[in-house]
Amino acid sequence: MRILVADDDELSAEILIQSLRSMNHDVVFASNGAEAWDLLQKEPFRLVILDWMMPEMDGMEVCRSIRAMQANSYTFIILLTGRTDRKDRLEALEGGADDFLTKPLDNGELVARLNVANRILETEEAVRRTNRELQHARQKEIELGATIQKRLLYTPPPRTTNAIETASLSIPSQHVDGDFCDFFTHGDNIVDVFVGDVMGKGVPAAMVGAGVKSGLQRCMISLLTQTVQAGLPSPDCLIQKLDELVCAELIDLGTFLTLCYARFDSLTDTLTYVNCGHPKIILWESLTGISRLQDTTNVPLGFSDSESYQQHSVKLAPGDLLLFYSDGVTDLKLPDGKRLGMAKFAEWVEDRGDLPLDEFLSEVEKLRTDGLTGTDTGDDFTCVVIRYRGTEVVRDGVLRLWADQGSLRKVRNYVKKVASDPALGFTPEEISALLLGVQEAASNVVRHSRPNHKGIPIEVRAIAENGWFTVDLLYPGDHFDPQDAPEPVLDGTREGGFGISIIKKCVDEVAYQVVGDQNLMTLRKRVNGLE
Amino acid sequence: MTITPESIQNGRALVLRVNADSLETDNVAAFRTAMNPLLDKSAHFVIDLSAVEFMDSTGLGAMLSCLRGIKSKGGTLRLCSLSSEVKQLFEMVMMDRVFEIFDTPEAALAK
Repeated sequence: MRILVADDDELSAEILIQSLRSMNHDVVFASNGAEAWDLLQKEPFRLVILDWMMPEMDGMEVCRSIRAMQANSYTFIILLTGRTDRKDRLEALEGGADDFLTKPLDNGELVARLNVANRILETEEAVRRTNRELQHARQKEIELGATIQKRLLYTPPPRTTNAIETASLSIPSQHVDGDFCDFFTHGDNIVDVFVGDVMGKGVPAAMVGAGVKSGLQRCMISLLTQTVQAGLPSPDCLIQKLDELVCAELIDLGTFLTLCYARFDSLTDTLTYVNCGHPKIILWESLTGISRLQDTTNVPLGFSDSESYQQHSVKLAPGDLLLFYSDGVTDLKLPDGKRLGMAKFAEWVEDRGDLPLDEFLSEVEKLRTDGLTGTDTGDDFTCVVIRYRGTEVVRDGVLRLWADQGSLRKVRNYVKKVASDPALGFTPEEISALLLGVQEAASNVVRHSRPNHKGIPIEVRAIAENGWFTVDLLYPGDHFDPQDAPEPVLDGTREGGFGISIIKKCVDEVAYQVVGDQNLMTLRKRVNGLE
Repeated sequence: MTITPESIQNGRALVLRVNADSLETDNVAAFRTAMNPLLDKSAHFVIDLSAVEFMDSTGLGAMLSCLRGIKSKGGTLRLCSLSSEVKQLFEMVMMDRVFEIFDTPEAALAK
């Protein structure tokens, strides 16, 4: 063993060093306390033998300094002393000494004390090794949990389906938690999305989450095969079945989970959901720009073994935004120190409901960062945001859509299809002028009816009747009469201001009126053909 | 949206082909982004609009913005290969008098 010996008495030091070397120890010598302390700061020694009485720094001072130092391994300290006073020795032990050697040295005592030191150091090393291994194992477990979370628990719905567009954000608090989400698609027009949160954190919560998720899949399959005639099982049936499967086990395990199961049906424009104690769904209505919290329907799963599950239905319009989120979001602290809460979060959403989903989630992330203080890493943070787009097919002669980036083409395609009916007798030039007029009108609506908004719901109705081809655009937002638009400058010095004059040139009549809370712009073109 | 710069022909003008079937409200920002770095590459330009089947007033505004930028630096901008729909728009707001419009890139370069 490498041993540091510090003693100002050269003769007694020499005897000690000789003895240690004869036992095959590697000895480093310091002639006073300060020198010993210098050496100790450069190199760790497992065993240090210090004379108590030394100039500069005495043995007790060095001893206290060693104990105050943050070290990766333990240093065993033996004090060399002539003192045999009980009080002194107690003071030395208090100061961090492990053992004593009495002067003059007795070789037999030295051997015995070294054996004790060795035994203690070996035990200490074994404890440290075990601790390291435990820590490693715990880290592995956390990583495993994180993998479970990522692969098994967190399956956000596809970015786009026929009915909805989605984006999601999940930030676990301690690498792993019991937040989960998944989806089922049923044909082209129905998609189910569910999100849940298991009480607690870590691998146990993740395992319960994974169990419940697969349980829900089993329930869906079982109900689908049992009730082929009845069609798709309703959300309330599904959750009732899940409850039968997992509730007793959750109660046994002493845990519970909140779950929100939502079905989007684009054929009926309906959201049907069961919400078991999960934070309330926020529905931002595209038409009014107002956020509404949707009531929960049930207590969390695992609370009661006799719960009867209810479902609620809400009508949706294209462009409506729906938010599913964990309590990590509503528990965020605002700058004034208050909790965000659901109502304030809903209010926050009102100003941002029109944003493209990725931009919206960036804002949510910013809200989270701003709400965290110091070393706080926050709670589990999950947010799934869904833009309901509807089928975007024409029903009853009306195309209803959320007009955002890339949507105007859909309006043109619809009008083109109706106007291309040979019976109307429009020439290709007339059709392209009509489409240009519709484009200008729709793009005007998108840009100006809700200033600085990135989308707006529009209803388009194109119909030929009584000698006219009529295109109606119905939309919310600011009132604007195209008749009031100034005449455009046509000398090339201005880049804008053509829109309204183009509309007037493309069609025979432009009319504008306020209908209820909405605006109605009507473009009309005379039909040449027989209809 | 991409814009393909053809090689400078006859040492006179850089031909830029717009690779999009429309130039409108929904993609005009992308057009400006693609166009900007190319405007330093030459003084004289021909924009080939053969792929563009549809243009609205916002797209037209972007073309006017290019024209003004190029002219302010003493350059020229010519347009070629307009579809009948796009030509109809230019004529409707009399921009066929503001822009030099040619049937083909060759015709635009020849003069």
